[in-house]
Amino acid sequence: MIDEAFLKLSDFIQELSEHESKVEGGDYGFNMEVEEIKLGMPIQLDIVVEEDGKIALGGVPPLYYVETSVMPVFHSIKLSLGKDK
Amino acid sequence: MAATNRAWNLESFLDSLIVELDKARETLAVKAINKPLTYAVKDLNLELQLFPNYDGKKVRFTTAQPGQTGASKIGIQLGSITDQQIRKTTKEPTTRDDISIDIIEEIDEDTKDSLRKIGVSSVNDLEKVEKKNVDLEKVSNKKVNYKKLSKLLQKARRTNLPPSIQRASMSVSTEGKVLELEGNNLGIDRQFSPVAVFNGDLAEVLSCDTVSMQVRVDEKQFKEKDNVLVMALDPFTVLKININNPL
Repeated sequence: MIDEAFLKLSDFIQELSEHESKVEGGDYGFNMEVEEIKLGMPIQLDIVVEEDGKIALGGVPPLYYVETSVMPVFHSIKLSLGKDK
Repeated sequence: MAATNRAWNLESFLDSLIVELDKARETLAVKAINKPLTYAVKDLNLELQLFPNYDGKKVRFTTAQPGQTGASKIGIQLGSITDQQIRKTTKEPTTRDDISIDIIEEIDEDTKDSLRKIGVSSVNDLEKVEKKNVDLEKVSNKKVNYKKLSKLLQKARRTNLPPSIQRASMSVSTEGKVLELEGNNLGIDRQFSPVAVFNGDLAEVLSCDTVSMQVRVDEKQFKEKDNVLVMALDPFTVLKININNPL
């Protein structure tokens, strides 16, 4: 089981993948669609080896960045999202 | 963070990562039913802070913990690929008539590891390698002896394909009496000539294939009942049948 402070990695990726795709110009009368989104951020990971050898993955973005005497480990995640046709 | 920080291997990590990605994709696909324009993950890049460790056989990784410095940075990039690319680059899964080396207990773990390293994960893989005349001892640094292994594999294959007799009948010709047996998985080793013993005496095997077998028996050997036919179908299979009334 991953630490409860972390999201399941699938939920984390799903949250990052939900975007409003339309850009509307309102009174100016233009409409656009976002074709591709690239995002990257530091991520804290919880990698837990279960009893059966399977690995549970949890992730959470850093909630704040403050210099502390013991710094959390920041891994990095980058996602490319494309329009689901 | 987890209470324990156990080392993991890359294969298990990638399996889990792919499963997590699939779950996310499935949820997004369901959402797309009501919300036509959504986004799909095209590729994912993870950079991990890890401590690799090699124990002489396998490389395992320990995730860096808060406060730990000097971790190695390892990047994993997953890109979307088409089903055609998967078919081209993926080995076919082990089929029903094949046997995975993982389930053969007689093969020790070192030999299994050596076989996996050279891409052999099943009996069929091994046969393909052998057909191409590859010197297994050389490519595995003398860890794999084909002859020894081949016997173990044949035995395992035989365990998977037990022989059975469904019908026994007798025909009489000028050459004498011929016992005809029908069944499944009878003679599966073509390099082995089956041997039959009828009521304690050697009997001639006229033919033998996977579904039928013909054995010429001496008429004088017949008893009213309790006739015993013992057959060695291959080095690992001895089949004994009692025939009460062959005629």
